[in-house]
Amino acid sequence: MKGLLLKDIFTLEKQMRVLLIVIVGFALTPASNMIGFTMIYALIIPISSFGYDERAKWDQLLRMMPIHGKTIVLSKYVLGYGFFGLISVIILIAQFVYHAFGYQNLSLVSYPVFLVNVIVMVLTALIAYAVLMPFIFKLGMEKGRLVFGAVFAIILFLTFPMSFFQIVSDGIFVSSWFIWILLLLAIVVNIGSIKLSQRFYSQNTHS
Amino acid sequence: MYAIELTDVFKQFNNFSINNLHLTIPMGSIVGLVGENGAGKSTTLHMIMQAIKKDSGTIHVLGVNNEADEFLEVKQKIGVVLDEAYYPETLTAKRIRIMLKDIYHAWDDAVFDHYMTQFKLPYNQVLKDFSRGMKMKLQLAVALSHQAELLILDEATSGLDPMVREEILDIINEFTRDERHTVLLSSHIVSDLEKSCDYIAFLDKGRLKFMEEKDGLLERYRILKVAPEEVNALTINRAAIKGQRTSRYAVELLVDKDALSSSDTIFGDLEKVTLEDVMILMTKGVKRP
Repeated sequence: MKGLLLKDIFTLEKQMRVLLIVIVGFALTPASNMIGFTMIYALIIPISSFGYDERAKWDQLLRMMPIHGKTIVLSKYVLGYGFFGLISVIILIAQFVYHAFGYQNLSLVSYPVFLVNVIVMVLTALIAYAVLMPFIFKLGMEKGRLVFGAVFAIILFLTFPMSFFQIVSDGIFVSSWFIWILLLLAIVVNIGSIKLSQRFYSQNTHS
Repeated sequence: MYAIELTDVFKQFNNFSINNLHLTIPMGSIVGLVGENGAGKSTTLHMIMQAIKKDSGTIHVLGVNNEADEFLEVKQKIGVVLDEAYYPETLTAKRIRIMLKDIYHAWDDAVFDHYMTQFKLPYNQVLKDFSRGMKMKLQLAVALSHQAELLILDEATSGLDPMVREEILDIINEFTRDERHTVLLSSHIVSDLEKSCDYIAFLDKGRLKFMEEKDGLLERYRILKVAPEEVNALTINRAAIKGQRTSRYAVELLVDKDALSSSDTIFGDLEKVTLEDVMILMTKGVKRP
């Protein structure tokens, strides 16, 4: 799997440099309501790896290699998880530094609330990613993009009110069962998504 | 011992099928797979590698059923060169090497470097700036850098200039000096196959017309040229005629010498055939009166 991840990182690094800078820029922004934007943007990068693969017809070569189909599918999920994790760490470190050095006035919420807010956004992004992936494995990147648009719109719709609530009620999620449900949902949806994508990938071998 | 063994392989597509394909590739040989576009060559190679699943039949590669879990280990010993280098074009040879090192357990940097030097390929140039010939050479360098025992090449020499084709064929010949090494290559360029193959397998519309030793094949078939009006008057075993090409002034018949009987009378000379003659005439078939 390491080889596949390296290939994706090498491919994306060249092409996505500008987008990466934008995402890191978002992540470093003190305002907590930028997290939603950051995560939505962050979705684009791992998904776009499919676009580069399709353009190169990489899959034709990949299927000749000694790699199990399940590993091929899983590597795309790990790429996404790694990327969301990286962005989250950048956001958290940046916000920690703002708070530690007394720039709390830049942030709209206290650090613990901010931390919880990041968790909520990461989990939401993971669910969105998991919803989208089987469509891409089944339909390919082009048709998958349409689904991505729909997922994007839903996330946007959900993110704004959540950020608003979080801002006005400072701490509404901290002791809430909401996070636990979201976490459970993210785990269940991702496991189901991986299984489904692996099935779709295997079915494509028949064509 | 066979490097590859296909038994009764069947695959149905919408407008095309591979029909009950029996094909055996002897260990240590170079086998050329010929056939017109859409004959099923690439499909066959992809089925061998389990990149496309067959509907029925069995395929054994290096002694292992390609549907078994162990086939992944067998794939470690197979070098593949496809008709295009399907790596993302932003990659460089250096990065491909880093990536493949993790995929192929027996990856050997020294061998890769040897071929990179021999082919005069740059390490840090993105693939987008590679010529077709350079891309094919890079694929070949990769295929030879993980101690492969079997090389599968799908139209690897198509679209390349004669110098590069010659260079690739030399490497393939060099590879089979080790008697455990086997090569299966498909190509439209029949002269390439004629130059380097030990056996020729001819696929036509998803069916295997023949698989024979190249020298025996060229010895076995002959071309008989007759005037169009003489065709029906021929007194030879019709079963010996395997194909024909008709022009305004002559009819060329592909004749299987082994199927001629002693009573057959041949008017005119039997000319030697090329592999291309056999392929074209067999594809055209015979017009029965």
